[in-house]
Amino acid sequence: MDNAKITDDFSAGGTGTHDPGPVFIEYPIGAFTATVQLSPKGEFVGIVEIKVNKDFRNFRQKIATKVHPDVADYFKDDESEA
Amino acid sequence: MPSAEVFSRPTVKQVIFQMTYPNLFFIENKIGDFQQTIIDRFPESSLIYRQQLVLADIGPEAKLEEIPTAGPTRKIWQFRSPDQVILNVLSDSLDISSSSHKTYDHPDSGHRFRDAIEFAVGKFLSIVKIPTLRRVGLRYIDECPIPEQTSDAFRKWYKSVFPLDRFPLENATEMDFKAVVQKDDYYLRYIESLKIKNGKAMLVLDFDGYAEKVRSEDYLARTDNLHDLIAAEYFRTIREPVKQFMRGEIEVPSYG
Repeated sequence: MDNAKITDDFSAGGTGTHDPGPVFIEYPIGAFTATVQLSPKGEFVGIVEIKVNKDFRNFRQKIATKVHPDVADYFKDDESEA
Repeated sequence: MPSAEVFSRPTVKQVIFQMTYPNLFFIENKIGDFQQTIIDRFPESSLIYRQQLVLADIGPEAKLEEIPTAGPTRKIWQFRSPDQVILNVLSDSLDISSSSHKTYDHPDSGHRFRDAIEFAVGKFLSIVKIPTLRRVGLRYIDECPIPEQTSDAFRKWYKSVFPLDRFPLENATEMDFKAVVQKDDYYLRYIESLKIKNGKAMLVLDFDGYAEKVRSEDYLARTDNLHDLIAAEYFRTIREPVKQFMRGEIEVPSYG
């Protein structure tokens, strides 16, 4: 949504050209993704966003959603040995 | 007047729900509980730090140190569903955006945006008790086809507010109209915009409806009303050929 910016500013200087708005580029850096803002001329403006995939649940909450295997399944008698 | 049908090729490109509330400093402690309740439908999660940067032409008289170069950093807890519905939680707002939904609440569809709102917001409000929401908003952004860039053809497809007698579409590379109006307890910002994308013209319709000071138990009813308001305005803007296009009965090669 932020990338689809509709500019309201009609006061930009100069004539014949109008500010097309900033450009955003995503760069992956290891586990992070940085979103960099460029000026309409392609100059570096700054880093506007840092994103990292993360699970917000604590250990107890994660365990609560896990399906536990029935260990008895691993100790069934092999019928071929009987 | 909402539509009685689900169109196979709707012009809507993005739909966004947002609610704002007073700054809740304790919300970070509740995020794990919230994620636990929605993880089946929103299995992917990310933490985002975002800030607004300021680009300013300060002129020769201004002092650079007086101009802030960056706004405050915001922390966003983001959750994503497999069908690319994105849910963002901030300390003072929650938003849900989708580019995959074709209907808000049509009973014949199994994929309704209203259901996504009801699920996510319902779970959120059950964990984070908020008596009154500051604002509830619903926004639709439509990219509509223009089969031929002439005023006559455009008028057959749209009941536009553009002053085409003075500025014919044939000569236009940009055209914008914006109005913010109040209807009873609701506000609607309507933007109609002519865009040229890859050499092809399209009409962008941006409907942003909102209500203020909404009791949390009324959020869904108020959102329904916003949807009805936006849908009525949309169908006031398009004509029959657009409906035929959305049904797949007419092709516009330059669209898409």
